[in-house]
Amino acid sequence: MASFPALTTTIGIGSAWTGTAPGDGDPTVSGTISSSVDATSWTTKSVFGPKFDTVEFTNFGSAGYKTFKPGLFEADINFEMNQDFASSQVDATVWALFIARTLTYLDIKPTSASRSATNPSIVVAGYWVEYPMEFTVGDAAKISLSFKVTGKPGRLTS
Amino acid sequence: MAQGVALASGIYLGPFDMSAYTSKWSFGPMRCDMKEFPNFGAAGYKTIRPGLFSMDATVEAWQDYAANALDQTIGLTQFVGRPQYPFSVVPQLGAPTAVAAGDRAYLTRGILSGTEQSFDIGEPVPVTFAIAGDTGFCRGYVAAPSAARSSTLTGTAVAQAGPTASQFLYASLHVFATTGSPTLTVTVQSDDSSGFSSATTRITFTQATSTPNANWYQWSSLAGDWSTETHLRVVGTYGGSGTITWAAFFGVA
Repeated sequence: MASFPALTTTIGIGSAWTGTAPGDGDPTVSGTISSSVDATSWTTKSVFGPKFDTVEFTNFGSAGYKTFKPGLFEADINFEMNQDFASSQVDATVWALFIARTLTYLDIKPTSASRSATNPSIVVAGYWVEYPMEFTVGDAAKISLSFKVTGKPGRLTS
Repeated sequence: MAQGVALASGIYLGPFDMSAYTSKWSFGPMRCDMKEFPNFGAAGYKTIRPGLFSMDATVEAWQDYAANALDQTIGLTQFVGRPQYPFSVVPQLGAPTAVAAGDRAYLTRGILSGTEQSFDIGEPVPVTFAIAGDTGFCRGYVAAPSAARSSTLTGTAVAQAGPTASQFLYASLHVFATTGSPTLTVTVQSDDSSGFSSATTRITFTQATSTPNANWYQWSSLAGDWSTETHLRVVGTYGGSGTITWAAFFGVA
């Protein structure tokens, strides 16, 4: 798939997994979220940011340049959503997971087509970090959510 | 309440109904600290576990120096006393409607940690309040909407399971004004049916009178486990004469 505008990106949220879940340890991730809640119609932006700690190994043989090696992996996912207090929508779904500190699974796919090599699902396990509520009179009610990944994510093509 | 524009909200800070003064409010962000548990069995991936909750809130409003208005109720005189106020909000999206019992609300208590007002020639005077949450916060309900009452209120039954062993019932009471010499004692009750045929009183707030004091803004909590209960309601027992304007909120977290 060539470069494309994000038009039908899908986001699934759930607290149970069928298959081998992403997360702690070194799983070979496969499967899907059980009873996934579809957050697609709530979401206007999602940002997945994996990174490695950079651990310094500078030595006298480095010719004056700092040397680094990758260390521990971590990732954050940030969302922008339209707030919705109706039953089973944003507030009801995310609040319940946040306040209970529930281990949560996310499945983010570039388009609404099925998983494939050119339309992979990024799947992660983690926790909601913040639940903000900010309202300005006359503005659309939006919410910016941050999610902290624990353990290993997966890139699933089927 | 579907997605929509924020046109109306109920905002209640201590003994003052901020709704008609507020242009922007933030309940939170509510945060959960994330703690790392690095271990050699994690295959090079960070292991994260959730830790402590915390929250801060802010209200941006328009100042009012009139008698018994904003500055005289929540101003410098009160601020230097380091007040601890319940803070309850009722978000509304789309066409405004009157706040009603059972509406979605968020509630907490916090320390009034900062306030700022500025004077800019020709401009309205904004005032902001910073509230540092110092206890639990809760996604709950309106138990009794703000109204001037001259009789006992038996509130609407709200469907809400009681707290489990790891949860709490939280409740806030805001008294905004009185006329005459009324008294008000508010209780929060639970029952295992909406008919409240076997009500159990869970929280009793200290009686409020016509004397403005800390009894005009109260916060209370009660631990579970009474999770077999299915409904909550407030009862506001009135006495004396005149009217008392008050609102109450509750929830379980």
